[in-house]
Amino acid sequence: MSNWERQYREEVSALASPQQLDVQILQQAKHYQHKKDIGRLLSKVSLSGTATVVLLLLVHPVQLLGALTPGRIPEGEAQAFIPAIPQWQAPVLPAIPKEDPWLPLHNQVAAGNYIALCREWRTHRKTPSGAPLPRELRRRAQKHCRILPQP
Amino acid sequence: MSRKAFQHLSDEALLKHYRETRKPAVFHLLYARHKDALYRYCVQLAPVSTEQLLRSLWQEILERPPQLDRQLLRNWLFIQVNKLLSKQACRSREVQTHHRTQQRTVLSTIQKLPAKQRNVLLLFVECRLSLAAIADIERISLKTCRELYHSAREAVETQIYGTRRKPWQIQAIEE
Repeated sequence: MSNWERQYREEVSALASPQQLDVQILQQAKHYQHKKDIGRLLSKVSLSGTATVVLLLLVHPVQLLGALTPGRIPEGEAQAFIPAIPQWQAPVLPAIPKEDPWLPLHNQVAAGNYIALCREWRTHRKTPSGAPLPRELRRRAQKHCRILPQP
Repeated sequence: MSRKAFQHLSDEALLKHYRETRKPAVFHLLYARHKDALYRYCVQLAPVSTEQLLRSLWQEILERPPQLDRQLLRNWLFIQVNKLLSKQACRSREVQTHHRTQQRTVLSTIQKLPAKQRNVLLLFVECRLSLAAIADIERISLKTCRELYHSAREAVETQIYGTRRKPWQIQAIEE
């Protein structure tokens, strides 16, 4: 670097961009700033909110109710828990109506067809091990069916 | 990211980041790196309209941050300033020198150079551009550019130190 170049650098160092111009240009730069993406911001907020809620639910003391070991239950509370266990009963299931096995025979008798009833009655008389005929059907059979001679 | 985190980045990386994010802090850093060099260059070529020129240059960068395509930001800035200066020169010829440069010897000497020589000298000395880049800006050959640069240097040296001393001419003393 020659002498005049060094002198030039010294002289030129006094020249700097005016502050007023700097302020104006930097103010302009702020106008071109991206507006904040509200959708993305909301999504981030909701995601972090959900995560916090899940974490709170998992860590919440309510989760530990009933999970305590017997030794750690206070005396008063233990007595309150014990009688409840033997008194427990299975919930009563609603009764499902069973299908009547004699219904087809009833229908045939009502229609005036006694053949099946008589056959059933005679079989029962021979081997009384099976289920007996209902009283109504038995009375009908005694009234209408003949007792056949033994072979 | 704070401003300190950006400080190690090159101008080009900063500009790319600014184009993507439009963060004023990034622009602030870029502006701080180049504002004085641009001002010194402009004030020596167009002292009256310097501020207006710089304002329009930075406004253009803010509106449309340039795609540099492997070009240096420094070169791009001075190419743009030169374009603006040449437009300005077409509209009005500025012949008056800035009051700030009048009292300084080297600066006032440079001001006396012809416009082309002054531009070549300032682009090399002040803006630190290569002669090839300057030749592109001035749209002249590299050889002409080099000649202009050397003639400008010589003119400045002559103005400051006077003409070069010539060796004594030995004359035969006639008795």
